[in-house]
Amino acid sequence: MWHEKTKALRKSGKLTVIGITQEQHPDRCRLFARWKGLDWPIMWDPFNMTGTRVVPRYTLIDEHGVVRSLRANPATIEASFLDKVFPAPAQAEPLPKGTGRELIEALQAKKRSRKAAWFRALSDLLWNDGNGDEAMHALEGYAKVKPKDAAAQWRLGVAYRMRHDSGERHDGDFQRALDSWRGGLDLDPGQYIYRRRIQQYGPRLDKPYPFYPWVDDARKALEARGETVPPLLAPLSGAERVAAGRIAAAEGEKEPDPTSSIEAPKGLLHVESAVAWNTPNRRTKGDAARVHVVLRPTGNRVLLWDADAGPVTVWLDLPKGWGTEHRRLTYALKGTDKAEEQVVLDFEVAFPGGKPEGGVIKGYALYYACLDGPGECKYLRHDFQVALPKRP
Amino acid sequence: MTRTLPLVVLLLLLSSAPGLPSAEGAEPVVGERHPELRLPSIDGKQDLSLRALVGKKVLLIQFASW
Repeated sequence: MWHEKTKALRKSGKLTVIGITQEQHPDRCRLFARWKGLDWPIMWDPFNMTGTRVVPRYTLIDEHGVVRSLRANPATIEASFLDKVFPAPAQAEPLPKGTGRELIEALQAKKRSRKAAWFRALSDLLWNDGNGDEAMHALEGYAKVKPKDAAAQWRLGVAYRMRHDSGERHDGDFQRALDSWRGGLDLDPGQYIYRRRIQQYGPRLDKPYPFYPWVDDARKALEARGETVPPLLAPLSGAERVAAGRIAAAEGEKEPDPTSSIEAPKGLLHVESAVAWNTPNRRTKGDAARVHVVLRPTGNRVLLWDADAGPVTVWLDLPKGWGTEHRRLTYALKGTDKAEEQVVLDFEVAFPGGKPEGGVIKGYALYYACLDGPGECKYLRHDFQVALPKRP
Repeated sequence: MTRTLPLVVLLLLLSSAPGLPSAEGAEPVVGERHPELRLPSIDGKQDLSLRALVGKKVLLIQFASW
């Protein structure tokens, strides 16, 4: 409604529209904007600098930069806002000179403090694609000395997830992100933005709705329009796609290698896992978890996925009484010869009576790969374990 | 005390300096200037600043595409 309403107002020069999104991945919002034809600029605020607690929010800002409404109404925007001339504030605030980063550096140059370092780190991650370890060190340091600062804990999680999606990832970054987000939510349970970030990757139990259900439609529509479809930085996980509800137990699935007959060389693959629990919610009974697993070549030997030969198959053995929808999972590799490709899977775990105890999920992956060059291609097995601690 | 005072001043500066979001967020308040935000665009091609829009009437849409 807003988009249609504002088209003519923008064209006439009466109104300027600008968007802000708090999403972790800006490329998803960019795809959405292209699909929907949103032609106004959109800012990326992954650290939630605006302190927004709920979206959407429509804010009207007058010609002096003064907020006139936080609940703009398209039916009344002309009479109540656009056709009015607002008085200038009594004391004009001087306009800032320099970018946010330059101001941070100037302040930091006068005296170093953890808070200045923290701002600088956020700034580096936003404007410089990381500055990796130095920025993370500052964020971790600030969160450590301010353990009751919900925003600091949550923003640290955003940074961990950013690093997880980058080439500078450290093992365990996604789990650190989930833990930090949960730390922020525990300190500020009413913060909708914090809760949604965890639910995005969490189990169906307290999922409010599927996340990004429009992505496939957007891709098809852009292709039909002859436009290039930009790839997503991080593929949509199963957790993001599924709807709310409880899982149905797996039935009748055939184990692919029950006798361990397939060759299982060690040291070729590394497995990283992260466990996302449901958020505390008075409406849901019991607990469930979404387990995220990433398999990636270790680099000990040259390993090229053989996508043409078939998908990666994963089989899961859960502790007695635990449930999951599918014990047999498959991952279609995107391309042959792409050693850097990661196999990303996730699955849901339910517990007897909804009460989780600690346990270990055992599993193995079966995959086609060519070792040390394109000549030696084999069907291989890699065994792994995922330990679930007791519900934190 | 002599060590504490400059730090307090610095923290006050940090939380109120134009161009910087406060540590707790730059929560807008009706009737007051919107805190400055200078953030990357979602395509990473440009920085966007609210202050650059002073003189115009602005609708700021905060949303999520999920």
